[in-house]
Amino acid sequence: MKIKVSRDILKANDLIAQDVRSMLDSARVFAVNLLGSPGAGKTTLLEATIRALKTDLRIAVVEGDVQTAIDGERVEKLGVPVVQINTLGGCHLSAPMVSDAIGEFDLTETDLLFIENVGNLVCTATFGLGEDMKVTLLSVPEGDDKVQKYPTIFANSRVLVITKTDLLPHMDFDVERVEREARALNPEIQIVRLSARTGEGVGDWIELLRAHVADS
Amino acid sequence: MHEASIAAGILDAARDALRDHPAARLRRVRVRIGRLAGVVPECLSFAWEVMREGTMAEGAALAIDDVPVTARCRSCDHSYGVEDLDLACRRCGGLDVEMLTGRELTVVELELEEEAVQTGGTT
Repeated sequence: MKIKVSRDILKANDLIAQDVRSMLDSARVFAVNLLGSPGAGKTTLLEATIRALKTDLRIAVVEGDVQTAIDGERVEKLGVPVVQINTLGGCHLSAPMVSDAIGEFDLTETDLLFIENVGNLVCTATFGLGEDMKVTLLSVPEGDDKVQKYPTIFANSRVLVITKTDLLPHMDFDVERVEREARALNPEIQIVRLSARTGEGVGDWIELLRAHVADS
Repeated sequence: MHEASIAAGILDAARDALRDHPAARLRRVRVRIGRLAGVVPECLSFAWEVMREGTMAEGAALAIDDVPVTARCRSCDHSYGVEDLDLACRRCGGLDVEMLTGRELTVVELELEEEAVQTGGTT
């Protein structure tokens, strides 16, 4: 006997992601799921972003790592509330982890929540966490073929941030190729180029982020 | 690696569906996996073989239907297949497009083997 069904495989995750989303919406929190490879510069960009925005917006951070609290400690030094999640081998955050973590914050005292995912261009693309938008970082040293190789994450992201652009003179990285391929795959994607090291382009990112928070 | 989570999700779906058929044995689960769902079919098959052990799905096969990416142009209403990760409209070149298929991660069919006769034996 064959039984026809139509059921999302990620139903368990997605139901909790919806709960997270409702909690964030009712507290008027804008949530960013920050994605990218290990070493793409997620924590560094987060530090620069917090410095730029913390006087105007109340920011909280969920830090996801396989192990250690290194990133959580870096962010905590900037004086914002942080919850560190260790997945202990898990390659991505899932909605239940985020649901538990945000229970530690006073969401009514939060405007902007960053969820820094585990460094990974594959698995993190598939699991919604209840965020308003996914932002994927791609650093110049990773190479300009990543949109072709890992299309799902770029197809699912609202914003692509090309980081470490100060290294462009030293690398064979074709920025136009990355931008062309990302836009072909995801015509609505917004793209920012920046170097957190020199500060170039960081202002564009902050403007873009402010606009999203204001529109929400 | 996250294929294990996907396999666990398939098991959940099968377990829920089998609640109405307690006497049946699960023979096969059919899933639809979009090419942009971020799941590698070979990895999922392997994860399934590991995850099904010791569950009500033990021995059950996993059939994976691959779903290609298709899109529709909102400007000229043309629908087309996307083989090359370029969503631009094949007819007018427009970029105001929506992806129709390619993100599926869905259980679509469970094939059961009913216990033919109650033998009266204990389990």
